[in-house]
Amino acid sequence: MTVDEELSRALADLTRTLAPEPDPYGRVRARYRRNQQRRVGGLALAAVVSVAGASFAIAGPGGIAEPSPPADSTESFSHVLAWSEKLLQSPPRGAVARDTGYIRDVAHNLLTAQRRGDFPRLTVPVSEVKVLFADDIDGQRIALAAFVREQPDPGTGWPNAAVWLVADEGATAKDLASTAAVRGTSDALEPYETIAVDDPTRPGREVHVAIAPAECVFLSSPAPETWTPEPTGSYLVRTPLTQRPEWWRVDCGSATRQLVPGPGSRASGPITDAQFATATARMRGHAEQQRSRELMREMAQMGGYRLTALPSVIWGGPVTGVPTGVTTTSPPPNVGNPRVTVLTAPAVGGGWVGQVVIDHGQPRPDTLVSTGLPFDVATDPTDTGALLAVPIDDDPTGSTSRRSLLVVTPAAATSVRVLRDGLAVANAPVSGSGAALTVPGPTTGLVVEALDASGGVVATGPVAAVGAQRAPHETDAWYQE
Amino acid sequence: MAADDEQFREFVDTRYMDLLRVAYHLTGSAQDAEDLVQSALVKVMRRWRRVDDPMAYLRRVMVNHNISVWRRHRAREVVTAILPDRSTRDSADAVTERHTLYAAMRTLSPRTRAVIVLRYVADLPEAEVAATLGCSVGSVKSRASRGLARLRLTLAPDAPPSAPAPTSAAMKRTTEITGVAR
Repeated sequence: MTVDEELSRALADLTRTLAPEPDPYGRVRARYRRNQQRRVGGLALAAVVSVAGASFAIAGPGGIAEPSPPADSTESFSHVLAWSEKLLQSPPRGAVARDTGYIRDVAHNLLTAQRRGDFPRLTVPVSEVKVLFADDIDGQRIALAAFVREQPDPGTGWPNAAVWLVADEGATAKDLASTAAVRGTSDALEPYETIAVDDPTRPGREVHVAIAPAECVFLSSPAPETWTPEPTGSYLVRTPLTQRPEWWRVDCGSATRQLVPGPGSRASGPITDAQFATATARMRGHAEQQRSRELMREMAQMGGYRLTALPSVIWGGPVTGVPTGVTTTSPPPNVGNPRVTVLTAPAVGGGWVGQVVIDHGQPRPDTLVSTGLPFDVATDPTDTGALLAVPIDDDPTGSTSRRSLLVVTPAAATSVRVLRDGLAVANAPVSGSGAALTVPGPTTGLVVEALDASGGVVATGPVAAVGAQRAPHETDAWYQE
Repeated sequence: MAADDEQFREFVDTRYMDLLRVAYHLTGSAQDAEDLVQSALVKVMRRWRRVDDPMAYLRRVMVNHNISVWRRHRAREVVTAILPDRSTRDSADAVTERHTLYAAMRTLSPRTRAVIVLRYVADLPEAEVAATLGCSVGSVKSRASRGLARLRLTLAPDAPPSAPAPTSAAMKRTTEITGVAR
């Protein structure tokens, strides 16, 4: 048996007893109805999600895909449709686009191919094809073409589809319009389109292109503070040689319509010894080195340039149990005997984001083997004189009556005490600068104190906010007026 | 429309498990896999009559949605690791092997993981993987190669690149060396 066959077998075995929840079809129907109700309500959230998920199925992390388009263009999507139309009506951008004869040929060939049925995902009647971008970048000819439907897509309401094309540098109009050049077909031409394609000359590296309506301008910044207009104006190109830690911004008139971190992260490769030494210089407890490196890289890659530096390890160690708080009336949920690693990184815009990663010693009865809980704090949690208290149960609402906390303390602390309205509601001994305890929920309003052997307070702080990490600096405003 | 509904129901009934397996390997969690499949099916339901190849469409939707979730930093969904329940008790070696492979899959980038899942779980040819991901066959090959190399390294670090598959014993030894399966 080859490695490939063994891998197929092993992956199949991993899901051998995976079982669906009851009534899959009924749940799909119910979810569909809920979505429809939300659409009718015109909730802004639906619009935001739609934009955030829009773009193309493309190579590299720059590509997110499959728009969740409006089911009915008469709903609250008029703004994004108007911006989409502005992109459609924009003159073609890129150096190659200046060759009007070439662009005309590409558009003609694409329309002919589409009508011939060469694009299986784009079979509706199309009245016109417009090339919006074409340029030779790093040995490849990259183009964006919009397909104007005769009627808006009946399923989605979007009037125009879009296709990114990639061929060899200097490709003929015929080659660029061939199906072999298609890199992504989208149901919707969104106002802001991006593509990331592998750089054939640099394995593992990518070329990125982003484009907006011609009246808009791209700006970039190593941090979203001091912005520099892009020389290309209403589009942006990054090659492996020009890619850098940065943010991208699109301004249209006086409004910022798009503000996103650029592609990549601060951990492009394995964590080096020097990076790890820096990351653990102020670590408390005893984190496992290999696991910490993995988690550092994972967190850095997930955060991208939302993080202003590589993550640091705050604390690591086993959590041998959750002590019972003084007001406990029932035992807390079993959290096993896990090893915990706490990481943090400074975030763009201030504050720190963090992760509590719980690797359970043995799979729990529900087969959970590892859990990650994100948190936000305003002050530097790597400060060895500071206290960090963060929930370690998976209750994003914080509404349950009992909450489990992990408290990381200064080295001098021997116990922790939790107060509400000045009254102690829980306490626990400290081991290895860490303590786990159960407190009455909610965690809002709780004050956690670290005490030394004499009972003196050596550090104090609130319980950190938990939940999906926010991205307050990111903007996606095409759906707004 | 009733005929469409019936077709769609039949499709869900017959292909749900196939989709769930792919989604599980993409997300690493049975709960997230259910959510991903349900979300994708809602999308395809809206345009059921217009989708020529629902499985291909759904795979594309799931892969891309999963990558977009990853990019939007929904950390809660990323490092939660849930293996599906077993009705019978596995041997210690089998449990270790499963956890080692699970952990190794989690180390892959979402797009590389998608290539591995489409090639080795959905058993798609490279061209179809490329079509699903909207990239070139060359890109699929290179990502598959990188992904396999990484999995091999985790599953059998002593094995040369072209060596036969590791045996269970080899996998166990690897686990002891790397300590990945905790």
